Amino acid sequence: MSDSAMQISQIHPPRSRRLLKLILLAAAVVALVALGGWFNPAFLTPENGLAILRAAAMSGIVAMGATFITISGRFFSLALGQTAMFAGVFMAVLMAQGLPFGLAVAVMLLAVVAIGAVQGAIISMGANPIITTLGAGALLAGLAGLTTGGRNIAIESAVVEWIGNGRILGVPTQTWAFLVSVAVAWWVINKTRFGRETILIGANRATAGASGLNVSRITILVFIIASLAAAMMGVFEAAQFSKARVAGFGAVDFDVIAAVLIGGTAIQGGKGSPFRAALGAVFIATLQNYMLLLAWSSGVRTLITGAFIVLIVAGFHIAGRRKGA
Amino acid sequence: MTLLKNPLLQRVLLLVIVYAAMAASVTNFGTTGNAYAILESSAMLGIVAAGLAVNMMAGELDLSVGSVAACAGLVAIMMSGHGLVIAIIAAVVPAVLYGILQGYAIARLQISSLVFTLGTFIGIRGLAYVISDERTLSLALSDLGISMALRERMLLIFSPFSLLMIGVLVLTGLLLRYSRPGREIFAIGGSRKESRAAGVPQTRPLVLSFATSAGLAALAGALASLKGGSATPGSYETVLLAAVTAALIGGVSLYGGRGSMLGVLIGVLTLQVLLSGLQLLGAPNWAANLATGLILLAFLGVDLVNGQSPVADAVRRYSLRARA
Repeated sequence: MSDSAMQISQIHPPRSRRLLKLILLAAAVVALVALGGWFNPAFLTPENGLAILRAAAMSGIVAMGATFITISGRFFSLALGQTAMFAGVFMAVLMAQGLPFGLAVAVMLLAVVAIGAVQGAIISMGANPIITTLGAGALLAGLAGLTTGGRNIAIESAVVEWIGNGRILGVPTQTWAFLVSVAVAWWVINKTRFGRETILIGANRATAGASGLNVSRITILVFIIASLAAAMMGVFEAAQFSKARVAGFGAVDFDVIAAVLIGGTAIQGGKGSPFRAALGAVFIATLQNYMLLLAWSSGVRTLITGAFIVLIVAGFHIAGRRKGA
Repeated sequence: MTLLKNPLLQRVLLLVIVYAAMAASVTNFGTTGNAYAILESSAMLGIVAAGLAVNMMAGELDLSVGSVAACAGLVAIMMSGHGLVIAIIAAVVPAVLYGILQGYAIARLQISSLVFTLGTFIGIRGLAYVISDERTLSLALSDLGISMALRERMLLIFSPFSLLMIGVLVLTGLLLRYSRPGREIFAIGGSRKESRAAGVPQTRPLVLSFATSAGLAALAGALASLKGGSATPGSYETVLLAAVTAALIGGVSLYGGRGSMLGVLIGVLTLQVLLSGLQLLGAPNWAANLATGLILLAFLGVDLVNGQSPVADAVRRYSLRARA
């Protein structure tokens, strides 16, 4: 954070440049869709479009929460996939005990808030965020195993069934939830005091602390928000198949990180937009879906995602330094 | 009582306590046969942790070690027909080159290694799936001798693999302590700005630390896969977590500039004794996750108080003021 003093003046880049970034990203999505349709007609069907949007919604919802972590200058969380898994499993276990859906969700959310708060508290004391969340993720995976004995838990509830597979105006519930979370995240970052404080501690933590912002409180809140977003995804994931799974969340963190970075959120904090991160999630989901239709192996897809992250991180880093110098 | 304040001695004491607790609750835990088994299963973790500890001492963190180990294991199995030495060279040399490139990129871009290696962590895992065609590769029957040779019991409780782990730890420990590049790694880890002001080169130690972490991860992955007789592209996903935990138990600080290879060895053994004990007690798979996660978070707390973290600085300021 030592060389970020000059970034304070860049918190508000000119409106035109922000718009340009947004248009560029949107153009990339459109170009990808057009190219995909050109080479593979099955890609452009409405059904596939909705499938992409549903996939984008899953990692997109988590990306909305993760954006807060990145903007606040704490890089990433590697525990979000595990948080989602734990949330789904915990809710399913509570419902299997006979709790009604609403109460089960409430208790689960309380637990998730606690999980996020503990991570945020440790990190706000200066611990390495990646390692802290890596440890918390292992802990959560262990807890999920502890509560279920390592088995998938079936959920029998009409409400949950509808949450997972229902459609409003022909659009899946997940997509609606995605749209709502984008709007909420955008509003919180841009229009609330807390959002501005998040950006400030990301831009320059020392200065923000010296000018009286409560850095610890904001850090804890940021991790609570991210954990809640992950829990939301966990509920949708469990609801889709009426079954809470104890495996298969390994790639969530990768997709989320890729979405946030492609959205141009500055990795050193202090800059970023939930709206662009959402477009990033759509971009990643489109790319993944297209590679899936091409029958490319998951290995190639992972390789490309990783290469993308390295290139984007290095690219933005170099561009940022040019501007600063 | 001043002897008890020696951090290394405290950690030895912890190891002894964990071992005694396990020996008391698991029958036949204290036998030489079990000591051999524990050393044997900690060999891979020890070699990875040695490389990662070098990285941590430089104040950086290479998240890609698990992915590199998986790739190296696959390559070693593919090349096993040409003999053990060729297989290991084929696995380790590309990894060292990759580590040099990665270290150079991080040094020149002055980018956070956490962020950069996160990308390679994902990408190299993908590469493992690509080079193996998503299949599990196994040693040919005619090459199974390699596997037997690596785990052959010798000197009561050792095997060639576990002896190699101890050799690697001793060698890196000596190099860190007595060679010029080793001292440079400590210097940039302890304090980047002051070391630069004192004329310590910045790029060379960084490159060296990343080459070490990648190279040793590859060596460990290659040997472990050869010993096990097969390699899958999804393997060694948890080794990063275990290695960081072991290094933290051993007193290596995530804030850089602190730690010793003797500490790493003690950390590796402590963690492995605990995990082996849990396994022998019949605890299910997720218990290892739970235990490692808890220990990692606990020792993160210890590191927060001991290392060069904001909390430690506050504590130091407070104690200075109290004394004045």
